[in-house]
Order: sequence, then C-alpha cells, then structure tokens
Amino acid sequence: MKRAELVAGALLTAFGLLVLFVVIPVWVPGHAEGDYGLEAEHFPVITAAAGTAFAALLLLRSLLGRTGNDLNGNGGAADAPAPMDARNWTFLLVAGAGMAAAFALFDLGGFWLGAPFTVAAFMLIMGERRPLPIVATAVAAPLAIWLVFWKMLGFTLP
Amino acid sequence: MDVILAGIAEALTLANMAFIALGVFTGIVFGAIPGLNGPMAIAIALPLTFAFSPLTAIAFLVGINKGANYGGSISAVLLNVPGTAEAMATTFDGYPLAQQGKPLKALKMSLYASVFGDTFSDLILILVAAPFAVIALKMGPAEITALLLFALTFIAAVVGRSMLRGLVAAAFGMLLATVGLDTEASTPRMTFGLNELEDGIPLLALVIGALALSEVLIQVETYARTGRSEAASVNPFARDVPRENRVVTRAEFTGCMRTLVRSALIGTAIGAIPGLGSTLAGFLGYAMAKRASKNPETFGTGNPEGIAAAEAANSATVGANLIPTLSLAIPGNLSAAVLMSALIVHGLTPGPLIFEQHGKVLYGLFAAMLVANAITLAVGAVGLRFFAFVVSLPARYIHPALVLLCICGAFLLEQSLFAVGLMLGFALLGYVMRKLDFSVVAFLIAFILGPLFEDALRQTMVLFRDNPQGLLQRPIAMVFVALTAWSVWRLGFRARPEILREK
Repeated sequence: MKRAELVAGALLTAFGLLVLFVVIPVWVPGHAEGDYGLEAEHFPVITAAAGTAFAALLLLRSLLGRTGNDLNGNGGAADAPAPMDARNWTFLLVAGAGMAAAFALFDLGGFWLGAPFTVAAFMLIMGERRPLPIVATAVAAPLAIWLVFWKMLGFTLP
Repeated sequence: MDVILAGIAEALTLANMAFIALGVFTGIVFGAIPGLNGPMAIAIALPLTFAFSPLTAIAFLVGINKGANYGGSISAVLLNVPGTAEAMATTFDGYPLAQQGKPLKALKMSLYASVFGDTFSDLILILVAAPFAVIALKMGPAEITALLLFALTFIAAVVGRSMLRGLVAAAFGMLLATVGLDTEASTPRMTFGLNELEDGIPLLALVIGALALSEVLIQVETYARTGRSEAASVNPFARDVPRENRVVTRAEFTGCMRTLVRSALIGTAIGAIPGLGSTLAGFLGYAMAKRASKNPETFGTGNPEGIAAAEAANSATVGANLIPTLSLAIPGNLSAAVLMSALIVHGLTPGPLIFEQHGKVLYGLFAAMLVANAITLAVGAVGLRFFAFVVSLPARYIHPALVLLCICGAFLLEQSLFAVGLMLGFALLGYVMRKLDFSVVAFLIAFILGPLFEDALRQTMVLFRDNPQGLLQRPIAMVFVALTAWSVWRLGFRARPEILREK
C-alpha cells in the first residue's frame, strides 16, 4: 500500500505541476486588466494548486512511512498488500485493448460491427468459451438495444 | 372553492388518469435507461399532446416527469448505473444492498422514498407556491455561492477511507470541470483546440464511465478470476426469498422518517431555487443523513436509510421546481423549462397571474400531480419484481450487455463517438481509482458542484465589484458562511486522527 501511495502521490504531484505550469498558461487565456470578476484562469489555477498540494502531502506522507487512516482513525497499515497486483494490471490492459478495439469498430463500421464485437469480447474476457452462447448473446443484446433505442424511441445509435 | 373542486374533478376523470398512468410508465422506462432522461421524454412527447385538452396534456407530461425521476433509481439500484444523473447518490447504498441479495428491498425503499419526497414537495407547492417563490427569489448569486460553499464541505462525507486521497480526487474532479468555454466570457479553457471539448467534459460520459463501467469492469474481472460474480444472484419471483430480504418493514420505514422529512425539506428548498438541480439535492440529502446518523460507517455498505435519503431529496425537487415555474415563470431546471414550454403551447402563461386566469387548470394540475404519485407507487410496486429479475440473470450475459448499454448511453446525449471515447477512458480511470482507494464519488460530486460554484462566485465578484465586504449585507449568505465555518471546524476535528495519530 505504501508503495502504491508513493507512486500515486508522485504521479499526481507531477501531473498537477504540469497542469499548473504548462497546460494552464498555454491553454487558458486571461482577460484584460481592469475588468471586474475572476479571470478565466483563476478557478483552474485554484483547483490545480489544491490538487497538487494534496497530492504532495500524499507523497510526503508515504515518504515518511505513514499511510492513510480513515476518518475514525482506523486502518492504514503500511505493510498492507499492494492494492493493484500484476493480474489487475494485465486485466486492465486486456479490457483497455478490448474497449479500444470496440471503439475503433464503432467508428469504422458503426453499431452493427462494434456492438456484437463488444459483447463477444467481454464474454470471452469473462471466460465464456462456448460458441453458441457467445454468438447468441452477441446478436441478441445489440438487437434488443437497437429495437428499443432506434425502432421504438427513434434515437440514433453509434 | 368552486374553481378548485372543478379542477380536481376534471383531473380525476378516467381518461386523464389513464394518460397520467401512461406518462408515468413512459417516464419510468426513459428514466431507467442510462442516457435517456425526463426532459428528453417530455420533449419527445410534447407534440403528441397538441390534440389533448390543456389539463390532459400537462398531466400526461407531469406523469412522464415523475416517472422518469423514479425510473433513474431502478438502474442505479440494480446495475450501479444511474439512469439519470440525479440518481447518482442512490447508487451509494442502493447497489450494495442489491448486491447483498436484497434488490427488492432496495427497490421498494427507493420507490417509497421517491413517492414520499415527491408528494411532500407537491403539497408544499400546492400550499405555499407563491410565498415560497418570493423567498427563493431572494437567493441571488451571493447566497447561492455561500450555499454551494456549504455544500462543498459535504464532500468530506463521501471521501471514503482516506480523507487525503478523497481531497485529491475532489480537487482534480473540480479541475476537470473547468475544461470548456467559461460561462462568463466564453474563453476556451484546456480544450486543446478540440471543438468537442468546448462544452466541457460531458457529465453523462463521466458518470457512466467512472461510476458505472468501472464497476462493471471490476465485476467482469472478479468473474473472470473466480467464475462467479460478486453480485449476489437472487430470483425475485422465487417464493423462498426470506421476507426481510424482500420487504421494507413498517419499522424500517418509520425508522427512516426523520431522514425522509429532512431530505424532502432539502430537496424542496433546492428545487425551489432555480438552477441548482436535483443531483445536488440527492447528494446533500445523503450527506446530511450520513452526518446525522449514529452509524455513519454503515452508509455506502447497503444501508436502506442512505437510499431513502438520496431518493426523497432528489424526488422532492420535482414538485418544488414548479414553484418558481408557475408563480414567477422562472423554470427551476430543464424538466421545468420543458414543462413551461408545454404550458405556453397549451395557452397557459406561467406567472403571478396564472392562479387568477387559469385557476381551474392549475388546481387540476395539482390534483393530477398527486394522482401521478399514487400511480408511480402502483406501477413501481407491480413492476419491481420484473426490474429485479434483471439482476438474477447470469453475469456472463448481463455484464457484456451492460458494457454495450454504457457505450450507447454515452453516445445518446452528445450524439458523438468522442463522448464514447471519453467514457471508456473514464472507465479505466475509475477502475484504477477504485483499486487505489481514491473516492470516485468525491471526484464526481466535485465535478458537478464545481461549475455551479464557479459561476455563482464569478457573478458575486462582479456584483460586489471584487469587494467581499458586500457579503456582509446579505444575511442569508452570512448564515451559509457561518454554517460552512462550523462544518469545516467539525471536519477538522474529525480528520485530526488521520493527521496526528498516524504511526
């Protein structure tokens, strides 16, 4: 847990600094001097500064060997197991790849290409290997959604 | 009196009641489907009502509005996917309770609380519409800023196990909300030259991705590893489901009465102020209930009181939104705006004179609203076993279909694949946040409250010409500032263990 908090704290602090010193100056113009009210960049700066400060505190806390307790002072064991292990990262990679492929198919071929693929891919990820249930669900689920959204309600689908 | 009785009598004809029922059913369907919502349903149905009498038309549309408001809680409870944004707080306890094999109980509590909150605000509307509207009108930018500042302190109630990680999530959630054109000068902020980001990050893409699809991913992963879902499978039609898992007992409901009344008051007050929205009401009702509870640690784990708090508050905005709409012609939210246009289409001009000019139709509308609540209760009660049947289907069929539903839901409102791409990205972010114990809920709430707060603050600064002393002349704002100070003090007191007692 300590290592995860250390990495998360470091990444978020770096992200916050990047937003504060690179993204906001380039992508948020202010307004002319003399106007009343807050400048457009004011709120993004306040929130980014707050986020960076909290993330730096998180980093500092993990560097000092302390981990977070809850509001009642419970929990926070420094030697607790890592919240994300290699299997989680592998799953994230596989699911992310599946979703990216689904997105590409929706973009290239529309609903009738992307939708069956999405359903079939996630059934495979969940361990289903029997072709009949996969094909049946990959056809039935998009068909049901198409009937409700397009035929009944007249909404466009991706 | 004759006018009132004539209006009520007209509302209670068989034809009108049938149209109200049809409206409620349509609304529930729209509300329950992620991506669709009440205003959308009302807008689609409006042209169908041109041939109706004004009362029948408005009663039908009000039925849709009420049905949609309740419908949002169905998918929130059963699938952790809030059908509408205002049902977000309902997921906090509704979904965990359904996961424990008690989907019927969770649905019943959300139904009863929703009808309670809705009826409460309808009665307030009927009794005090005009004077309440005058008070609501006194809420200018300064008062709304102070109120939202107070609301922001309630994020502490949902930060999860670590205050610091919750605050990180909330700050970055608020930062994300600043993306897009700023509302004052239309200055593009962090849009990176993308036209799609000029309207900001789509709320629905964020809610569906970070809250719903991330949870589905965790369920998919659990199933892939263990061959079974974390979600308890229960057949709602089975006769052997223990009674305590199926029903909300009288003792349970009356035990929540203080929470229900508190939430209904919060929802009514927020609904009567134009622009604040029922999402804020649901969240505030939940946070206040958690803060007032003797067992706050049970909130978020499937506590029926959490469902009651969120649902009563967000539903209480439905009637209250019509207070400024009818008496002052200022629509309280999007649904009220669409309803107002329906009133105008049917020859009823909202405003202070509506009670004089269209008293019969107006009191008929009030009666129709109460009838719609009773019908929501009936339709909900009859249909909830069917709704609960959804979760009893095997996870290997449901979860892939849910992923597809999330994609379609994200696409519907924006009609853009860009929103779908964002939603998928937020799903991965939500997954990592959940695993690393960063509160997704705090992230989302900050995202929702952030723009409201910024707009109100910027208006206040302009109003006071950058001089905060102007605030001292606003007693209502000062009350909320004092409440904020008290809340922060309490927060600091409770957070002290994290800072001082860590080893």
